[in-house]
Amino acid sequence: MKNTWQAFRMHRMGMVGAVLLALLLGSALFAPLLSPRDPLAMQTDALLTAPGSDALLGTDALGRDVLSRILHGSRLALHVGLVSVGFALTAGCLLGVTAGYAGGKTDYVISRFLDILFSVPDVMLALAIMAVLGQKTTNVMLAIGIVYTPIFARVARGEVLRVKRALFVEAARSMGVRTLPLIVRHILPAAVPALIVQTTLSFAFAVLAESALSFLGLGVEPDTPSWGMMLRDGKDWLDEAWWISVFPGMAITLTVLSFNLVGDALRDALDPRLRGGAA
Amino acid sequence: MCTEDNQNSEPTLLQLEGVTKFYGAVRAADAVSFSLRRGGMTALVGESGSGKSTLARLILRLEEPDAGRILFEGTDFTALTGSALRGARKDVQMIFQDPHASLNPRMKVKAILEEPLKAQGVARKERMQQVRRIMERTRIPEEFLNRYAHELSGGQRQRIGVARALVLEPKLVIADEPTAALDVSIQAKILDLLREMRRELDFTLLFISHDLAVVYNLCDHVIVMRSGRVVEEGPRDRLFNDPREDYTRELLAAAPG
Amino acid sequence: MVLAFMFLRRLFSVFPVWLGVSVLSFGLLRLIPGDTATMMLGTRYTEERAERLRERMGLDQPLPVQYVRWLGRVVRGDLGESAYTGRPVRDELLERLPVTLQLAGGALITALLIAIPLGVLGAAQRGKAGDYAAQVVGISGLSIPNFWLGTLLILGFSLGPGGLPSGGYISPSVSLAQNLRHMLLPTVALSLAVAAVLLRMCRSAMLEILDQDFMELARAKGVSRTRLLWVHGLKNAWLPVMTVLGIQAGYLLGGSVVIESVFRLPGIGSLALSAIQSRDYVLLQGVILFVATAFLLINLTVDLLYAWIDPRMRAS
Repeated sequence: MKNTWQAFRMHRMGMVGAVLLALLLGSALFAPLLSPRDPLAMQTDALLTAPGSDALLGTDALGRDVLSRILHGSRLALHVGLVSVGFALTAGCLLGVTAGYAGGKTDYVISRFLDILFSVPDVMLALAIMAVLGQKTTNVMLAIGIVYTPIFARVARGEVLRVKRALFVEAARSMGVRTLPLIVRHILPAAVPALIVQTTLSFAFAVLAESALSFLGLGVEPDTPSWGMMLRDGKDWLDEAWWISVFPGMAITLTVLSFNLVGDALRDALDPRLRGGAA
Repeated sequence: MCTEDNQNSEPTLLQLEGVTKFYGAVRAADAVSFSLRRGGMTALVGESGSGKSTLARLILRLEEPDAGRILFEGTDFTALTGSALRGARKDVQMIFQDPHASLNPRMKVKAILEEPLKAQGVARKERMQQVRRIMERTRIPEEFLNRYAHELSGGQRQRIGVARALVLEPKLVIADEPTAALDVSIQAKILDLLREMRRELDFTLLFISHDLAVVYNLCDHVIVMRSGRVVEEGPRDRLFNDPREDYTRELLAAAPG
Repeated sequence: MVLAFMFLRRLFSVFPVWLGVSVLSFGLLRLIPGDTATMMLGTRYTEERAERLRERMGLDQPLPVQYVRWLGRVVRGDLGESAYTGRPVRDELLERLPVTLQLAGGALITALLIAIPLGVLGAAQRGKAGDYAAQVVGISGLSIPNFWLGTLLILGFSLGPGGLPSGGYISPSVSLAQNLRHMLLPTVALSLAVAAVLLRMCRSAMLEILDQDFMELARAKGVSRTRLLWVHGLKNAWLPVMTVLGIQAGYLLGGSVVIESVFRLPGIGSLALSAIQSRDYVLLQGVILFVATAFLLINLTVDLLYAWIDPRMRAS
């Protein structure tokens, strides 16, 4: 653990990501304090105000303050990320560990099920799920969670297969350690580094996916301050008010970038085996 | 002097009957039959690939035999499942060859030694007492309790491997080349420890090895294996002085010293 | 011979997955609450039409029977009729396929043109300026959402001095020049993320190869550094890059939904979107089954290509 932290600190790009991430967390936590205005308040006398002293990042077509909406949007992005990645991690580990540990027919069935989910491109799958469930924030979380479950399952399954035959696992089995403690004590800990890396990178995917769904009008509810929704609102005003589209996009990019940088650095620091691997 | 049947006074602890295991076309165990007398120190010798380790894994139920029975104290060990199997495992413990790979690098010594007790449902208070007792017996310093196995030297690790196998005070201990991965200077200490522990705890030992000098010093009965079959078996002195099979003679001739 | 065997074996393992996808697509329509016939007819609903549809599709039969009958029609190329336009789903798909093929194909080529030179450069200049540039492109390509990149490109090149069209589609049969002008920005917007993944893969594969002994040997033999990099290195780095191509095809198909929406291109992606917006679930079902089938076939092809190239690569 100490070595990991040292290796991470030596990673310049990783530290840049960590600082960005800290800023993001800060703005999400203190959004109500930092925001100059109510993100939902429409100022009919200040429609499409250009960035300036009145509104630092301008206002949108309904006179809502862009900066305040971006700050509040970070809460939504993190919330969706947390719940959907949490779902994918939990469901993925359950499926992957079961498949890897049980092997045989169970493994075949679960692996084919994951292949099925994998064979629909992620945006398309999320769209289809949203079409069935309906446009709602909780449904976005569920849809993104389902879409990224197979990745976690594959990682977990691979790690289980790697350590399942390890001598210390056999030793534990020979002592009569039950299946569940065997997995929790001996097998899962070996999978933790790979899962941490995958979790961090999945946050990046989740933030991207939520904003894409909202941009397409199939994500969060219409008035919610979401970065993707802001870009959707802004695309009709591109020639008059570039700021509605430019600043939320920057927020998405910086957020995704910070998770990617931290994920890359963690991959290098935690496990040399994973270096330069999957995208 | 002593006859083939010098152990007959003691009852049979473990009996293999026609145990067979294939890996594809490879016969790792081919109709193996032998029995271990209670309290004996039996060596299972043969070159690597002769099926010694497979037999150990079969006895431990880490693998299922394709045919044959393994009787432990008269009950068919291969037919046990669930809690009956878990209970039976208490009496059969293994010391693994590689103390590097057989101890979880993410666990502290305390957790490693506690694990067999936990698996057998021993209460927490009782567990700590037993862990301390086995550490004393195997002379593992108390300050190791909170160390990780990977922080210790090879010899210290194998001491922990021995302690883990003995903490449940099993009736049968299988030692699979327990000194093969260690420096020569440390090998003798681990063998001394084994000998001493057997005097104290009175278990039956199945010692797997290809080192005939070690076998001669430690064991009283020898089983010779080749290509998954038992070639010859007998009391140590008879087998070393008067081998009946050519293969045994070859092995003895090839052994240094 | 070996290849033919491999092909059959892979086909055999893909088939159950495809069946699963078909169950998923079939189930999509049934998961939505309400009367299936009403939903399938959408705005064209009449009592008479509904009755005929129930009869034809066997909607009063148990679900497994319905599925098998539906699958039978799908295999013959009948994906049903759009609830909105009443046209066969197959025709809708085929009409829009060229747009998406041009977009995705163009983006893939663009991505390779960016990724391979930058990846090799990054590996060759490890730790220096070129490597730094490659890594920045790599990580930012992964982080910039493609729809925002599209928006920025419109701001910069259609509203700005470039004067490129900000959206819409013109068929190459009408005007190739106009077609290319319209496709330029969306192609670039879609390609960057793929370029980033390929670049990172190419860079790390090259780094690994540059460390290997045979490169030392070639250098000792007096092979020039340029030749070494671009011929020997790239020949070997190409394999790991290829392994991610199949997955990237999936990204291109999914990403086209978003990009086609930004640039108002009439492709498969925007078809899916309008199917959802008009609650045309028969159409959506068709699109998903079609895209997933395409994705599976692309991956099958990549796998086979890989198997075909691999032994030769190793031998050389």
